[in-house]
Amino acid sequence: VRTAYDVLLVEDEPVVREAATRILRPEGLAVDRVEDVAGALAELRKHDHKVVLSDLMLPGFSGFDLLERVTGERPMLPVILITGYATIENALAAFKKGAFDFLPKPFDVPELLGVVRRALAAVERGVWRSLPPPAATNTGEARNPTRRFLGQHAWVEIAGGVATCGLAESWPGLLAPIRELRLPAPGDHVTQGLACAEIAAEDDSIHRIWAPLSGTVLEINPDVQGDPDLLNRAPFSSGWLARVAPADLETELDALTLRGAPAPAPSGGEKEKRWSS
Amino acid sequence: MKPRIVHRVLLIVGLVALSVFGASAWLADRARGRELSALVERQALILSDTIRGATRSAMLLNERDMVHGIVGQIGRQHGIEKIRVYNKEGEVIFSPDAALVGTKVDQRSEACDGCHSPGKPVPELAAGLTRFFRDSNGHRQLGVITPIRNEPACSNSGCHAHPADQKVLGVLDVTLSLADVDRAVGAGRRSALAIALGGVAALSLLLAAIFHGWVGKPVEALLAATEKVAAGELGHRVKVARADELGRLTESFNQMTTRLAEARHQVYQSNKLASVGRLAAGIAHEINNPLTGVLTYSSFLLKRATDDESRQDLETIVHETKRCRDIVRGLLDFARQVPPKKSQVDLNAIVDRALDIVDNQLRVQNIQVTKSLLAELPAISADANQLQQVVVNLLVNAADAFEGADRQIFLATDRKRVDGREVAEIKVADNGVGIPEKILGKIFEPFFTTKEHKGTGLGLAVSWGIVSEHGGTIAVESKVGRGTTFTVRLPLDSPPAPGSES
Repeated sequence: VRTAYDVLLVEDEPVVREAATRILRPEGLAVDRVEDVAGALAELRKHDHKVVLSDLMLPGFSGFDLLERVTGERPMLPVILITGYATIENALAAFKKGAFDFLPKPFDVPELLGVVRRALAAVERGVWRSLPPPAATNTGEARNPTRRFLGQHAWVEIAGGVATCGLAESWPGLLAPIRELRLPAPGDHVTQGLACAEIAAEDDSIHRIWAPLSGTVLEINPDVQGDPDLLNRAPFSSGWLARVAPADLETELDALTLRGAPAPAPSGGEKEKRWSS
Repeated sequence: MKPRIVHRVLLIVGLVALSVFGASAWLADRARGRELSALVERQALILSDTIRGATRSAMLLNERDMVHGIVGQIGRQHGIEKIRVYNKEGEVIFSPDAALVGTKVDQRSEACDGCHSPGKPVPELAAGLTRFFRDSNGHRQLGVITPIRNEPACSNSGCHAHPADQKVLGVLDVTLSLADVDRAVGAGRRSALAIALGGVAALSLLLAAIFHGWVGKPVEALLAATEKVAAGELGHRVKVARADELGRLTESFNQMTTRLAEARHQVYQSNKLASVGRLAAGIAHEINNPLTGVLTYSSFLLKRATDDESRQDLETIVHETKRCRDIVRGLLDFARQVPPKKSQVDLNAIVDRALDIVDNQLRVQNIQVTKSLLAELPAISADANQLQQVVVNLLVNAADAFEGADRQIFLATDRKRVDGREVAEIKVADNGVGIPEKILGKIFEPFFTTKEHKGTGLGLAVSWGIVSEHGGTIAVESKVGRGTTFTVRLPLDSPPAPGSES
C-alpha cells in the first residue's frame, strides 16, 4: 500500500530527527523518517512524498547525492537541504544542483515551518521544477536574457557596474502575508551564499534570503519596504530587493546560472499573475 | 674563566710597551755605560800623566825615596788599586807596597800582554794604554800603562844615566777600581728599569680601563642582550648613548630585535588564527546538531506555552540559544577568511565609505570626527571590501571607547617611508578611555573582548588577519584616560602593473 507522506525527513542525528518531527506533526503533516540516503531512496520508491528534507552530511551518500537522484527522477519534488556545516560552498552548490532551499542548523520552529510550508505551497500549485525551466517555456520577466540566477532562489541583473537583485521562483505567491521584512542597510556588506535578509510572515514563519553575490548594498527598493507584498506580486520587476556594488563579479558569476537564449520579451505584468493566486 | 678582549688588549699593550720601554732603556744604558767608561778612561790617563809628571823631577834627581813617597801617597787614594813602576826588565822599581819592589813580572802576565803578545812586535806606545778587566772578586778594574820614555835629560844626567839609544825606560802601571762607577751605573739601571716597568703597568692599566669603559662595557651589554634575545626575551632593548660605531651597532641590534619580535608575533598570530579557524569549523559542525535540538524544542515549547512565566523562561532559552548560533556563525565567518581579492583602490574613498557606514551611530553618540586625508595618496592594490571592514571595525571600536562628553575621533591617511618601505597609512585615533597596558598586547587575539555581551572578540583579530593578508601591519598605541590610536600600514612598494586589475 502506497502511503502518502507530506515530508520525507532524512537525518542521521536522532535529536534533530526527533525535534523536526515534533515540530512538523502538530502542523498536521505526515512525516516519513529515515537515517541515510539508501533508506530515503527506498522510501521514495515505496511511498509518495511532497517534500524532501535532508541533512547534507550523512553516513555513506551525502545529501547532494540524494538531491541529484531526486532532481533526475522526480523533478517536481522539492528538496530542502539542512546542514550543520553551512559553508558558502555548500549553500551555492545546493542551489546550483536544484535544491528548493538551504536551511542551516540550528534552526528554530518558525524557520523550519517557513521553508517546509513554502515548499508544500509550491508543490500544491504545481509550480516547482527542480531544474530551471528551459528558455522556450520560460515566460514572463524571468526569461530576461541578462539575468543570472542563484538556483531558483534569487536573481541578479548587472548593468553599469551595479547589480540589481530580487527573489526568484521559489518565492512568489508561496508566502503567507508578510509581517516584516528585515533588509540590509545601504553600506552593509553582503556575501554571496550567506544570509542577507529575512522575511517574517503572518503565519509565524521566518524565511532567510541568501545573497546571490557579494558587495556593498547601495540601495534598498523603497517600494518593497513600503509594500512587502510586492515580493509576492512582482518579484521580477518592481519587486526587486536591492542594488549592490559587486565586490568580485568575475569569480562569483560561476555560482550563478544564465538561462537560455534571448527571445522577444513580452510585457510581464499579465504573466506574473500566474504566480499569485 | 672565559677569554675576554680586555685581557688580550692588556697583554698586547703590556708587551708592546715593555719592548719599547725596554729597548730604549737598554740603548740609553749602553750609551751611558760607554760615556762613563770614556770619562773614567780619560780620568785614568790624566791621573797616570799626573803621577808621571809628579815623579819626573824626583826621578831625574834619582831621589828614590821621594819617588817612593809620591807613589805611596797617591796609591793610598780611594779608588786607586795599585801603582807600579817597572823597569825595562819587568822588575818593579817603585810601588806603595814595599814588598813588591824588586819582584819581577813575566812578560806573559796579564798586565803585560797588552803590548807583549807572543809573536807580535812590541807596539810604539804614543800615550798610555788602557784596558778593562775583572779582578779575582769579579770587580771591574781599569788598568793604565804609560810608558816612561827616555829623554835627553835622562841620558845626560850624571847619576845613573840611561843609554841614549834606549827609547823606553820602563812603564807606569796604574790600576783603578771601577766599583763606585759600577755601583752608580747599577743604581741608574735599576731606577730606569723601575720607571720603565711602572710606566708599562700604568699605561696598560689606563688603556685597559679606557678600553673597558668605551668598548668592553657596551660589548658586554650587547652580549647580555643577545643572550636574552636568544633565550626568547624579545622585548629586551639596549640603551643607546653614543653615536659611534658601537652606538650604531647597538641601535641596529635593537632594530633587528624589534623586527624579530614583530615577525614572530605575526607568525604566532597567523598560526593562531589558522588553528582557531580550523577549531571553529570543527566546533561549528559538532555543536550545531545539539543546538538544533535545544532551539527547536525550546521554540516548539514556546509556541505551545500558555502561562506567561513559562513563556518568559522559554523566550530566554530561545534567545540565548540564538546567541549561541550567532557566535558559531561568527566563528565560521572568522574561519572563512578568504584571501583578498585585490584591485587598484583609493584608500581615501574606502575611508570615506567606512565613515558613511558608521556615520549614524557616531552622530547618535555625539562623536565628532576630524578627517585629515592625504589627497595625493596613490592607489594601492587591495581588497576594498576587506579594508573597509577593517576601518569600520576600528571606527566602531573607537566609538565604544568613550565615557565622558568630549568625544573625538581623528581619522587620517598619509604616505610614509617606514624601514625603507613606502607605505600608505590609515590612522584612527580617539580621545576615549584608553586601553590598560596589561591587556594592550592581547587585543588582537581572537575571542579577546572588553565589551562583555556586545562583541564576539573577533573584530580586531579579523582586522589583523586582513591587514596581514595585504602584507601590511596594524599597530596600537594607548594611554589610559588619554585615548587610543590604531595605525594600519599597507605597502605601496609593488607598483601597479598595467592590466593587473582583473
